[in-house]
Amino acid sequence: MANKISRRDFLRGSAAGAVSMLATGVLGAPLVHAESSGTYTPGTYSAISKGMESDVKVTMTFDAETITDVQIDVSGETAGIGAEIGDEMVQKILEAQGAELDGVSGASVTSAAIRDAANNCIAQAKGEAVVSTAPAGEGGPGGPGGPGGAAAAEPDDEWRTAPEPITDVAEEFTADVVIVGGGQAGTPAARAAVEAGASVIVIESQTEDAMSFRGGGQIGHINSAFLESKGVPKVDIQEFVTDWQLRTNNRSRCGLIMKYANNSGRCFDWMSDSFTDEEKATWTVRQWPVSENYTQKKSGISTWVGTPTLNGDASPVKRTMEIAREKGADYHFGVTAKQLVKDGDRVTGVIGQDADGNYIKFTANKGVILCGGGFGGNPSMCRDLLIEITDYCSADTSIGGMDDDGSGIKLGYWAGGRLESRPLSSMGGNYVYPCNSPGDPIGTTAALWVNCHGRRYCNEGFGDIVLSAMAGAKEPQGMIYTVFNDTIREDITYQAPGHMALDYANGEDEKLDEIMAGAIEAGDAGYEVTGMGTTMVYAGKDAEELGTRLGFTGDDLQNFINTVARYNELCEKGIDEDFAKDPVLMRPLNGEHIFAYGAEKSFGSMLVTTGGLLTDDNSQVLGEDFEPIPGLFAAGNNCGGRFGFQYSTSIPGESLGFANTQGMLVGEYVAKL
Amino acid sequence: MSSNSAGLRPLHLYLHIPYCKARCDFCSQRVCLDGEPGMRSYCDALVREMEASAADFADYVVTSVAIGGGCPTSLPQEVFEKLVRRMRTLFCVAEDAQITVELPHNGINASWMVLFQRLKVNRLSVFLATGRDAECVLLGLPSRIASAETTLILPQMMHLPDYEAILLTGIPGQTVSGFGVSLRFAVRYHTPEITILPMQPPTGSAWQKKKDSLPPYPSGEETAAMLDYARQHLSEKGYEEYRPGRWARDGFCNQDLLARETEEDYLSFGAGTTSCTEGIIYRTTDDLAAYLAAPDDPAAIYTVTGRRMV
Repeated sequence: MANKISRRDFLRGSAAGAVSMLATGVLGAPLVHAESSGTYTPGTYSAISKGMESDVKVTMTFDAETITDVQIDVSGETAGIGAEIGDEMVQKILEAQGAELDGVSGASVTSAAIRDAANNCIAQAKGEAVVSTAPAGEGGPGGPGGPGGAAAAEPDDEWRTAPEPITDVAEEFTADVVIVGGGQAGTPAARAAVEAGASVIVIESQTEDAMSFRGGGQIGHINSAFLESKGVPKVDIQEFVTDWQLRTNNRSRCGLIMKYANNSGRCFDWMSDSFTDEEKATWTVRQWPVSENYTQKKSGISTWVGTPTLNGDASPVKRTMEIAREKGADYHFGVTAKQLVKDGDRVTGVIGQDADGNYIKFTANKGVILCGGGFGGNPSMCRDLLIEITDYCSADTSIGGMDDDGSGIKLGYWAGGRLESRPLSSMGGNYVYPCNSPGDPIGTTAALWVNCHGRRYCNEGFGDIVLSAMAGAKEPQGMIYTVFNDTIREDITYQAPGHMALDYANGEDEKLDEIMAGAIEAGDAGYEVTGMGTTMVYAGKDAEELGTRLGFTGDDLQNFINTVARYNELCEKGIDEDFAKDPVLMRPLNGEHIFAYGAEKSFGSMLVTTGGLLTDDNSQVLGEDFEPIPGLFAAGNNCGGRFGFQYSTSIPGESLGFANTQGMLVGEYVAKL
Repeated sequence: MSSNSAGLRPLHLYLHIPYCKARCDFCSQRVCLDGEPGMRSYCDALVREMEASAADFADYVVTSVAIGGGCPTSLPQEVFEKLVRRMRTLFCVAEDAQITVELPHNGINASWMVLFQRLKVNRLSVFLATGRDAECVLLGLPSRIASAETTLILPQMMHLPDYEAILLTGIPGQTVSGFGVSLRFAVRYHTPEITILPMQPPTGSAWQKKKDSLPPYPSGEETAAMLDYARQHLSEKGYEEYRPGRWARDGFCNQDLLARETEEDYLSFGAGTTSCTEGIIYRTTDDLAAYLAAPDDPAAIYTVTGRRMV
């Protein structure tokens, strides 16, 4: 810097002549270009760029000062045009010792792709930033799968490496229980622990003025006094737990599930105990009362009613935090937990970092409870741990919108905690469409689903929507359509309750009459329905008219016509000989009009992850040897062994209810140690 | 603010992050698509440029900061955090400074929102473009409306004070009713600011390849009808048009935009940016290699292009 002038001095010196130079067109380029040294890091580098018909691959070898070899693969380009120019461009690059050269006449797109990839190789060899004008996502440099791409730049398992211990601590605090994360699991843990007589510290990365409890108010639970007050029947615990284990292929930790089943009602009543009876009287229960057409078990999988819908800003967890703080829980907002402190095998505390970058040590006399949320906001953890989603999605797919950065799970893992086996569970991601969106006009109704070739492909009513929609993941790319009858408002009363199911008990189905009338009137144009995104709903007097309006032609149209006929035949028989859908869900498509809408099959839109560290039945984190780690506990989305490898629920909102309940139980448990 | 701002001159900062995870088909900007090593090198250079400049602006107070690109959230979070923290230590940033981060359609998750809270980012500018999946596909956006919804829900859910949704008119095949769907989608999430921009004719290679198969661009009359509808709908919803195409609810606006209409200085960092201080307008080289080689050498990277006409 010694010989450099300041920005202000430079401008003052330059400005005087600038106006006259502008007039003569001198300016426009930088006054001084930095010269490239021309020194390479010896080695061989490859890059891909998009050509006319294919990916063009360039591989270049460098010594310290020169380009020594160039190989160009244009075999996928147009024969007689781009595919013939590889050798000529190799020669040009070697002669020019660079890639700023003229293209080959008649093959400008392929030439440009070669230049782009060659420049990428040169940049790599120089250790420079790689700048591409080629489209990413199509195999261009830096795009998914391309050299230098974000996915390739960082090993997926890098997050597993523990950081160096932090020693420059600016401040220290001590309590019986230290909780990482003050959300849906951490706050019940804090209140339970403080009510059990323990001193409690909560480390929360959000700032106090902006603190948000994500997850809304749909707290799935069973057997609370609140549900009883609404007339919801009690759920048999044995049946409930057995169903859970069936859903998760027995990969859930049964002891944790049993505790949730036995305590979720008590937890909801406890967390809402500061609301008045008048307030609670205004709360409703989702999909309650159920229709007499509802059957609890479909395809051997059960569903129950047990999801309160709270009014306005009513938030049991927010109220629980206020109570916890009134009773002495010490919340440290704006502090991010960075690593755990260990004394031998025992976890004894947490190092946090405040908003100014200072490190704070929190010592726990009895235990540290990790409640830091999921890892959907951490791309490398997602790639490493969500292997099924990773298989389906492209590397740049955005997932985990509502989720945290996985720091709680990382802390436990670095301290020796054992992760449940991959793939870890998540809400969504593996497959989204059909019917897993509020934008779907008929929600999760198990009507007829057909693929882009007009063929039915699955039991549309298997368990709940999360399970049944998965079948579509393996269908051909393209549209998947939902086909329904003009009796849809009756048909939905046969459905299982679910997050995205139309809540007919509370009037959500009333819009359907308008939609169907709109579709009939719109004819070929279709009727646009706005929900989450937009959907075009079409009507037809028969399968042929409807299929044509959906855009089917040729064999696909005939398939569609045959599929509807076959479906009606099976409905008439009362048995689904093709996919074993529950007979009560076999509703014929025989109205004056039938209807359909579709969307592209879709992956990767995931709310949160719901898998993490393995624990014992008391939520104590297990080590690699499956023995509990002294002093370390996990709850909510830091805890694995709850949902197997696919979030699937018998009651909407079970993740939230589980986080609350597990938090309460582990808070009580650790406080009494 | 780290010191007493009385008597200090207002200053507006812009930090340019020319990185994206993927290129949208219609994008004609020069963006970097490489991975972390490149991003880290670039952000180190940004910090060096700020360090070399800060002393010249010790008698200023920063009243707005815009961080754009590219997609700033394509950076690793710790790199972004380090950049913003360094900016705050180098410049005197007002407590109530408007600090904006530009986001793509699918730009954030809760983890980013927590970081924004900690860094006192208080405004997001979301490039929504459209509220319709079919147009997302046509534009080659990296995600669909479900992801965009998350981007609009999170700021409200996590109490971020201000956020803007940017919509386009002039998308091939766009109809007045289709635009209405997009507009209503954007408004639904209590979005304080709605910006409506005409789509610029794209020149990117991906767009060129498919331009012959595109539906027709909306006519001038159709575009005018879209804007009429916007005027009616947004007025009904309590927005005011404070600049052409810039609609906001009471108390919200893009301060960085307004600053450029004043005599106040704005200082940009990063390759290919424009600054104006003390009436002098100058550009920073868009040659990334040149920028990375000497970000702290004004003579190497700045070109004076004119004087501000007041």
